[in-house]
Amino acid sequence: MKKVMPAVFSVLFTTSFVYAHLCNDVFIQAKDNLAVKVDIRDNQLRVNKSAEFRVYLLNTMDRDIANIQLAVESDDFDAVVKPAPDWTSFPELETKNKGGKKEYFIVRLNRKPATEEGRYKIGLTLYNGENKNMVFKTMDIKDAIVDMQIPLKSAELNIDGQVNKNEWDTAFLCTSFYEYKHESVFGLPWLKSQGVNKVSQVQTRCRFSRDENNLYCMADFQTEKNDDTINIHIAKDTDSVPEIISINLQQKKVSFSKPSPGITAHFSGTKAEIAIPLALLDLKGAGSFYVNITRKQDNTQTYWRGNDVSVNDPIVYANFILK
Amino acid sequence: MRKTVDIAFYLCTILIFCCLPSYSLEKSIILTVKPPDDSFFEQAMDGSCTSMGANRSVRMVVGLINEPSFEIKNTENAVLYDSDGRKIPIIMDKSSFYSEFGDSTINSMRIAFITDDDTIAKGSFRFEWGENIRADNKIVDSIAVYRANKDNYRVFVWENQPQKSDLANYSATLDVIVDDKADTYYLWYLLPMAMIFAMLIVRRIFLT
Repeated sequence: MKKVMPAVFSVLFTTSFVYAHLCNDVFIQAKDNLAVKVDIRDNQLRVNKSAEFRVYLLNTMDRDIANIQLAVESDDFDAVVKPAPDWTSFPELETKNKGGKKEYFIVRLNRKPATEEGRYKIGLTLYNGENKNMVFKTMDIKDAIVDMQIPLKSAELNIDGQVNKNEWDTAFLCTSFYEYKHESVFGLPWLKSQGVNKVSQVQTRCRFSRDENNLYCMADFQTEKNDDTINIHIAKDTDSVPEIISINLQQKKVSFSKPSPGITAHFSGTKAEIAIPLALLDLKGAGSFYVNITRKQDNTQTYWRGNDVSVNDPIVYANFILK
Repeated sequence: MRKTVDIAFYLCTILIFCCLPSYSLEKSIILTVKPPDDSFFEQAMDGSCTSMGANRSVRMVVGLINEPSFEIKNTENAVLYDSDGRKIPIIMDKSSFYSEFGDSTINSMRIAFITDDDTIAKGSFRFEWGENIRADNKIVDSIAVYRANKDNYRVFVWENQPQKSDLANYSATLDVIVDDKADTYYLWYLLPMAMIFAMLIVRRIFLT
């Protein structure tokens, strides 16, 4: 008996450690591998008696999330949250690595009788359905939701390759690029490796402004190597296949997946100034669209948003607002 | 007496307005320390770092500051605090200074700082910058990494300061507009089309 009890305790202790570890691991991976997008028409939710919107999710972890739930917090509305009708695996969110796809919750807000006309805030939280205290804390849901206003171009902007501060300092800046690397959990080699975002030494700065007819971009490669291309991925909405505009520094050339009359580009040093007609992207008159930026410098692949699994899915892209 | 109170009031008001811009110019990020991966040592040098010596608990933490809004005009304008609020001197890598518009502004740079395990265990560091900040930082041509001191190195990742609100960083808030006419709001889009149809009908009936 004296020999059995320590063995039983050892097994119990080890099992509880492994369980806790695996659960926490899912939450650690969520930071870089769970994309969230709130889909609201015109980026403005207007409610009379009730209104509905969707919260899209895309899992690019090395494993499925066993039970994910969405909570809506509000004193002013009654909220009903339902999974999409074709989300057959709910509450499981399957990883795209194993054939999973983007899924969504449908949120219906019903105005309470005492709620008067005006502006209100509602809170959204993603949590483990088996334990509501286990919230996806490591995932910056605010960052995933934030819409980015693209300002009107500076009156001084001239697409000539000569970048100056007056032309671009008010334009919207995209920077802080990551490499997506697989590494073992907590440095323990016997556990399966997971994909994480690592700050890249190959950094990129892209600025955007616009007018009625064009999207203007200043791309700064910052450093120069043998082969260096920035790809700007643009999608009309979260269901569209993105178009890709490629900027190659060595060839000083901008290419597009379709014939691209009207794209103007001039290079100087590591910088390029580009004017892209919105009509070419079928975005003339559009209020918003979705953008991601990636870069390949020799063998180093970097991402502004998403990773190698999700790069073609606009769910992970930033929402550029033009109005 | 009343005149004195009035003067004091005006002075306080002026003081508050003078302080407001300087406060708003300062920005900060949180630095979280992690062990480096193998790629960190790809460019490492042979030999050992003299400033770390043989002390095994001393850590040199290295990383890149490239927060989108980061810009300083002078290397004095950035400061680092540990979780107890103590200032830690920053080592700035001159070779990594990057200026987006080629002026004297620094928009991105590699930095390092020396600390120890106990300080790291206490929590994250706060990196602050702004025109009104003055700190005694050290500028080096390049931050060297030595293979012999592999265990002494750490890296940091930066993240924005969590907002002070009831809803923590892991929750998001959405703006919702309650509008009694919300259900008819989108019908306004139909108005131009309805007018065109009306004019066509009028033309068909009365003008043909």
